[in-house]
Order: sequence, then structure tokens, then C-alpha cells
Amino acid sequence: MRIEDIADPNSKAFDDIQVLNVDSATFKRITPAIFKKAANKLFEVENNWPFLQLLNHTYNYCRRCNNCSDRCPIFIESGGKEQYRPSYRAEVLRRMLEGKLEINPTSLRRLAELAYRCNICRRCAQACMIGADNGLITREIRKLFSQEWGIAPDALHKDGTMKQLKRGSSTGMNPDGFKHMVAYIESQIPEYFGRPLKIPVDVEGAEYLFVNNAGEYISWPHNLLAYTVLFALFEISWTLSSELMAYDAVNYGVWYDDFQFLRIAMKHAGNAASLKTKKVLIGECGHAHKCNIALMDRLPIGYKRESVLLLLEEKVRKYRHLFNSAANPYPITLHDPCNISRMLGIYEPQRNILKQVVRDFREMVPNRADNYCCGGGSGLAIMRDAPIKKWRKEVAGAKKMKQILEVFSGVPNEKIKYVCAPCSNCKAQLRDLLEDNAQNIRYTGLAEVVCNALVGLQKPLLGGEL
Amino acid sequence: MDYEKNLGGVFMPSIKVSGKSYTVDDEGYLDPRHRWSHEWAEERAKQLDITLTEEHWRVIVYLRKYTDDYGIAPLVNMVCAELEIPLVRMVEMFGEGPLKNASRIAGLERPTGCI
Repeated sequence: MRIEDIADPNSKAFDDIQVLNVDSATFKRITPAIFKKAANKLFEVENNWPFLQLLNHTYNYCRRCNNCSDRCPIFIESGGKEQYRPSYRAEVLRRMLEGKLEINPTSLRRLAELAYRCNICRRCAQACMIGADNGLITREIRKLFSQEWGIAPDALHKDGTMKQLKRGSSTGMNPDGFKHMVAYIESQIPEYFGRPLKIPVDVEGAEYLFVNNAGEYISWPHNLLAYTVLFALFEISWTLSSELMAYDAVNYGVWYDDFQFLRIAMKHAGNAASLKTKKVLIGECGHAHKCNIALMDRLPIGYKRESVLLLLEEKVRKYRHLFNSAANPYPITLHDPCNISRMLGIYEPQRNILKQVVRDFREMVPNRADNYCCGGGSGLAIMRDAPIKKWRKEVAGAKKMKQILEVFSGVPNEKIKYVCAPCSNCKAQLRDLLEDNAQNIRYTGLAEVVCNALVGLQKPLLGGEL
Repeated sequence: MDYEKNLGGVFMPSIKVSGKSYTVDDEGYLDPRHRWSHEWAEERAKQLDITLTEEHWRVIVYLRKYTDDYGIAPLVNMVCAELEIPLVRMVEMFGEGPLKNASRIAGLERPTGCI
């Protein structure tokens, strides 16, 4: 769609999905003067100090060379739709503020929507020769609409951060629900491990406070089960916490709103102090990694944060006599979650672990910090409306799906294969991508693969009927 | 299902019960603005080709209580164990992925979060 047509309500070439469940009256109330005043706040130290330097740099110095477009899986897989270029939405904003594009309800809605046609995976920023970051612009546009006018997708705001602040988790799970879920997972352990183990909750003075996305316990309970078994064998002192918000490490604010991010981050920062733990151990969740490890650096917190992947790598190597990779004969590939691999540079530990516990490990290409996003990044994976799900499968996640099919090509369809993804969000997207596949490709977290290789495991965690 | 315009000009499915219109989201869950009722549940079940028996109602009542207490829906294995209903029977009653339809009929809110 030509950028000039963005403001034209009669031009139908935008696209067919709508992420923002917001009525036209809301956009009508944003006059050009109001919009300009609000948008200019993004460029003021008093109002936007955290990201100002990079925002100024990208906004003012991007040459619009579009090198970044060649790196963007959404732009490529859409067949080169202009409005999906990484630089396009920044350009819409520029022209609006320079008076070259009309600011009206149509152009405002489309600008807000455009911010949700991006996974904020940062492949574009990696390509830029001057270090401009159009992924940041995406996020700043989302922030502008949310912080000024409360315009944000329900999945991120009403059913996301607000639900987490009120009820303890974006899933709605309250502390009693969490304890009940943990008790249930604990009751399943003897079936797999042969003897009972306690899942520690609210234990004071443990070395690690283990935090996960709460959805992990609901959708992938075997992940916690696997970690409980592994931590017991590795003699790790750990605990979960049933304190409000401590059992849900997600912070959707990172995707769209600084205030919501801060509200949740401050609560999270207090969780470790309550149980007198010195270290917070971050489980298999990409943006919990980024929030806790990178973004929390900006807050005055008194505890260390460690990725479970590093700890697992160290222990699997030390206790290698406990594992037999013959228990994992499946061809397995590794998906690199953007927030863990590209953003934090953590990609070797997962590989080192997998190579010890599986027989047939295969690399997708490209990988590591050069990976492709699963297509569900920046909150898109939890937007489950049918048109958005379709878009995620056909456009945002298409490159990832192609990579997966490529890495397993030549393997007979009947043979069970796995995509290992140490990130809940990626697993949710992979579940959608793989739901109709005819090649028997399944997905899994990392702990399940490791635990499955334990000598003496009574019941396998992988394989079997779906 | 009929469709009516919701916020943002998005068409949402709707169901009429006793002349009143109830919106559901596109995954078929009752809009939380509406009050659930037994009557509504019967109507919703009919649309899913399910005739509610006492056995169905045991599951529905359990789901509503669990959600009230814990904020989320239970796992299907929990329901099977607690109510002593085998999984195959749950699938016979509510279809594949039995808790999906059971949750819709029970008027639970749609699942949210990274699940």
C-alpha cells in the first residue's frame, strides 16, 4: 500500500486483520494537534529517557535504504507488501509529524495497527549499517497509543497486564490456583520418576527462586515436572513462590507500555526479597529472560538473575553419567527464541545440552543470533482470533515453518520429530504452526528432552500418542 | 449464530436466548459482560449439537466452581480424576478436546495469557 493512501479511508489495500478492538470514536477524538503534542513527548528527555538516544538516532538518521526489508521475515513472506517494510511505519509517523500525511481517524488507526504487524525480533536492526532500530520504533508507536489513549490489544492490556496486576497472572490464575496446579503436577511425578518428590513452594532461604510464565504450568505441566526431577538429582536448592505475581514471570508491558512494564517489574523486584533468596532463576520463557536480565538492570534491585539454560548446561555436563541419549532417538532441531538468542546472546548452552542428550540433533539455517522469529513474537502469539492466527501461520511464521520442514526433509513422515523451543511464547506459536503438519513434527521445551534421557525414567516424556 | 457489530466495527457472533442477544467471542466463549444462566447453557449446548444430561451438568458445575476458586479452568485430567469420568466418556459427551466445549457451555471466560 502506498504511503500516501494510508490516510485515505476509501483505499482498501491495507490488510484484512484488526488487532485493536477499539471503536472509531476513540480515534476521532485524537485531533492532529493532540496527536502531534503526544507524539513529540517521545522525543523529550523528561517523558521518554529510557529509549531516547536510540529513538532519535533511528528516527532522524534512517536513510530509508530498506536493507532491513530483506531481513524481515514478515515483509518477505507477505510477498513484499510495502506496509510491512520495517521502515514503513516509522515513515508514516515522520510524515504525519512533518505535515506531509494527513492525520485523521483512518491514518491513526492504520498507524496503530501497523505497529502490530511486527514481531519486534530485531533482525532489521541487525542489518542496519548505522544501527537504526525500526523494531524500537514499532514499540514506541505502540507505547504512544497505549500510554496516551489506552489503545492496545485486549490480549496485551485488558486480558494481559491488567489481569496480571489484579489476579496475579495474565492467565487469571490466582495464588490458590497456582498451588493447586503445583500439587497436581507433584502428584504426577511418581508415575514418571518412580518415587515421589516435593515441589518446593514458598520455602525461605533457598538458593534460587524459580520463575516461569504461569501458562507453562497450565499448558506444559511436564516442563515443571522435568525441572523438579532434574533439580532434585542435581541437588539444587530452589523454590517457587505463590506470592501474587511471583508465579508469573511474564511482563507484557515490555511489548507496548512503559508504565504497565514498570508496575509489574516493581512487583517482580519485590518477590525475591520476600523469600530471602539471593538469585532468581528464569525458566524457559523468552521475554521473562529479557525483562529480568536486561531491562531490570535499570531498576535498583538487590538480587542476581540467572538463566536456567546456563545452570542446566553446567549440571548436565557435570552429571552426564545420569543420561543416555539413546532415549531420544528422534530427529530434533532447536528453535532460537529471539529474546534469549539475539537479544541476550544465550544460544550455545541449549545446543551443548541437546548434543549430550539426543542422538540426532539438526541445525536450522540460519540460527543462533541470526535466527528467524517463530512469528509469534511481541505478543502476537497470544492473539488467538482466527484472522490473526491465520496471518501468524501464513505470514509471520511462514519463514520459520519453511526452516522446520527443510531441516527434516528426507526423514520419513512416520518418524516422530521434535522442534525444541525453550520459550512458552514460541511454543504457543509452534503449536499453531505445526497443528496440521503431515510430517509428525511435534514441539517441546528443553527440560522435557533432558529429563527424557534420564537413565531409569519410568515413563517417557516424549514420543507416544499425541 | 448471528453476527452483530461490536466495538471497532468488528462483527462478533451472537446468540439469542429468550429474545435477549448474547455476544460470544470468535472462539465461542461468552462475553463476560453477560450473565450466564442454565437457560443460556442449554441453548449454547444445542448449538454445539450437545444435549445436556445430569452427567454433563456435573462437569459444568465443577468447571464453574474450579474457575471461581482458582481463576483458571482445570486440566482435563484433573476433571476426569475428580469426577471419576474416563477421558473417552468426556470426549463422547463434549467432543474432541472436551474441555473446550464444556468451558464454552459453562460460560467461562476465554483463556488468556501465554498458554
